[in-house]
Amino acid sequence: MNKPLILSPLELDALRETGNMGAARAATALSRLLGRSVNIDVPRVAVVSLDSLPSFIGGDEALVAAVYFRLSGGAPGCMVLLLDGQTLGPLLSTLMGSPVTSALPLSADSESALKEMGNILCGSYLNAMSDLVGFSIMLSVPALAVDMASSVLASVAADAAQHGAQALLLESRLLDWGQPIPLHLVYLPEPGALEGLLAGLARSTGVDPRGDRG
Amino acid sequence: MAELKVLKGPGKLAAHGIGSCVVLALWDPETGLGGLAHSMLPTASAQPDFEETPAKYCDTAVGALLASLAEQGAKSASCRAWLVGGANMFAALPREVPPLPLGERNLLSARESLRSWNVALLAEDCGGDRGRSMELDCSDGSVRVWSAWTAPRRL
Repeated sequence: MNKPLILSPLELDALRETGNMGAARAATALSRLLGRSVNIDVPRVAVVSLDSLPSFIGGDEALVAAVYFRLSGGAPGCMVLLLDGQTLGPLLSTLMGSPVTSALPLSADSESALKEMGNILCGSYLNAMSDLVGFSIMLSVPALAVDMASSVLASVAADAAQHGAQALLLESRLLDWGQPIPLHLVYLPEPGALEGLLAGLARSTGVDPRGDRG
Repeated sequence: MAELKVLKGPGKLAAHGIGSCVVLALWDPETGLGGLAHSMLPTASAQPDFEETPAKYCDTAVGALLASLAEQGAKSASCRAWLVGGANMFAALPREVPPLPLGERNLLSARESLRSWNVALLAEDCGGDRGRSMELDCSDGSVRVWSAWTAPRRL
């Protein structure tokens, strides 16, 4: 089995700061696209086990929309944008510019809008990361599934052959749209990929990532 | 996931949010013993952990679950089997080297393994692009399956 990853507070700070930079870029891109102000914050970054991920989004059977990317380049693995099924109505209404009353099943336009949202968020985050660590990270085309949280996440984990491994969870929120809409970004690194990222971050920030590891 | 559960009836065993995984349910009508194995990948060969977690792989799950049931007194020859899962959740995902999606490879491996153990497969609810949940009622050997879009139905 994979050994558990324990990140130091400094490493988590560095990852959260990258998350903030990515969120700012994504917010700018969305603002331009939608012609209105958009803010995204990143209240929390955590390393969580894949098995526990459904509990962050309402449980095994909670309905979620997941936009899934394979990553290649300096940080191989995959990345998923998870959206709470209950927020799809308000989110799609804003993305599409007209009220979407029954979000499910998704229309072809809604599917495209969610994939584009995933592209912007994951792309912005990875670009911010790339700039910091000095190597490029490429996204595949997005794939979308709307279903029970556990069904979707177990399939992602199996596809990545990473069962039992841990994932980096970036909890973000889309603000200014009434109730904050949670956006869960999940990065599942291939073995060794997260260590590579952390080493890159340490080089660019000049901070010894292991300095305050307990 | 990758887990193996055994229960002597009455009572229910459940698995929630099955995607490309395959859940094998076995039930022995003579003893009322039932069990579930939640497998994630088709074959154990070349995997470092299959001896510790045989239920994780479709081909070793059958033998492991039969052995657990036999420990409690079930007879392998009278056990009945159901398979649930094996969906392809991200239908649009570009395929890699193996030409079949993972869910389908899981199913093929699970069915093949049941045949090699001579266990009767009573019914299955498998494939497609939807997630499933299921429960096995060990008091009468009934299996129910539901999804995010459909109410529970008896398999």
